[in-house]
Amino acid sequence: MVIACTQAWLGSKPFDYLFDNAYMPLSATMFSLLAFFIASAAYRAFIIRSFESNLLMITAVIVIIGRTSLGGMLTGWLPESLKFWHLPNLSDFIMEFPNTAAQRAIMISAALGIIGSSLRIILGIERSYLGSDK
Amino acid sequence: MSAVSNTQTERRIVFLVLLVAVALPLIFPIGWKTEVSSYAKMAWDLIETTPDSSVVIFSFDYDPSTMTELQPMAEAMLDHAWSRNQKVIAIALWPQGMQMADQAFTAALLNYPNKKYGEDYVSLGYKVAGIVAIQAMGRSLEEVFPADLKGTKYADIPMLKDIHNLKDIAYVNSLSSGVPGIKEWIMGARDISQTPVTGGTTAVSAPGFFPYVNSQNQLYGLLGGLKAASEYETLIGKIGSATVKMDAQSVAHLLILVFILIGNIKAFRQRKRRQT
Repeated sequence: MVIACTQAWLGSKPFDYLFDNAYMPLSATMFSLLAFFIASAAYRAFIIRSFESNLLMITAVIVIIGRTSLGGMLTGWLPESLKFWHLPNLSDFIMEFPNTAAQRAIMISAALGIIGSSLRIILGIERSYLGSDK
Repeated sequence: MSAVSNTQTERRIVFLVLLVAVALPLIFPIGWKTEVSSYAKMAWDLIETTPDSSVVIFSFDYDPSTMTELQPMAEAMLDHAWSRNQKVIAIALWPQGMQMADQAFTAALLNYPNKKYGEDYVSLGYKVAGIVAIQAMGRSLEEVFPADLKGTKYADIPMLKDIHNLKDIAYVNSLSSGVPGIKEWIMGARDISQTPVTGGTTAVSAPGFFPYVNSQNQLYGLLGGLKAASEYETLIGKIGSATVKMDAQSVAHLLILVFILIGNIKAFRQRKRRQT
């Protein structure tokens, strides 16, 4: 009786029911919490203290505004000759050049690091994984 | 009031204000327009220029946690592919990907009720092993997917009659929120089988994929986050969920900037007080 009632309540596909009504909203909620933590962290930690943090702040502000619909409207009045300074274009420039260059550097460095570590293990220089300190 | 309780109160105020700022534009949409970036246009160009009746792969490499950003992309790109009469194979490298595919097909079928399963689209299901599975698809799709989700044999599916491996696929569209995802498709499909790859990812992951959008076209454009999904909806001329949600995201971004400003003013005043 209980099984029949539960089955009638959950439908013919109980796992689909659980996925749609429990797993999906809970997963989405967990990921959404990120926005609240970012807002709180931005308020407490994004403080100008040095030249580097100032630079980071200016870049972040341009990218944040450039990635909103409002960014386009704020500088949409600029003439064609000054289009580079249009906020979405400026944001795209930052993502396309400085960001891509940094990402490539990270990728190449990580690859070189892996090659180096692999060679050390292959040649027997690195033996700490066998329990040796030397 | 102690310093600790002050911090806690401030945090609660931040959470509450953000909740209101996100909720209001969702209830009362503002209707701000989004400018289309070159990356979104490039992805759109690939689907637009692919000939009619081509068979393409949509890989659903995400789960419900990131569906707010990726589901609108999937629906918009599927809508675009079907408007060009392309035949879509849905697969997933993530276990929950096929449920996401089902939802995307259900949404797209509202606009294209004449599309038939097996002739215009097919769900081949989830496959474990990431790049190893992709490399195997480069040799034989039938070996990797002997049957579809409903149990129909690969050879009995009409739209897959002439599709043997990844070389017969016009392009792969990977909607990915991690590993395995776009990177594995680039290495396994683009670099080995020369099959064009495009895709979409979350805003936080997008910067890591930009190096692949290069002169060798390892990646044909990239949709990064909800803004790019909204740009894609603009390109196909439809107002979808991304366009509506973009208002809330824009307001949230602006609010975060305001929080940063207030935080800096507060820190500046504290520093001044300490000096005097």
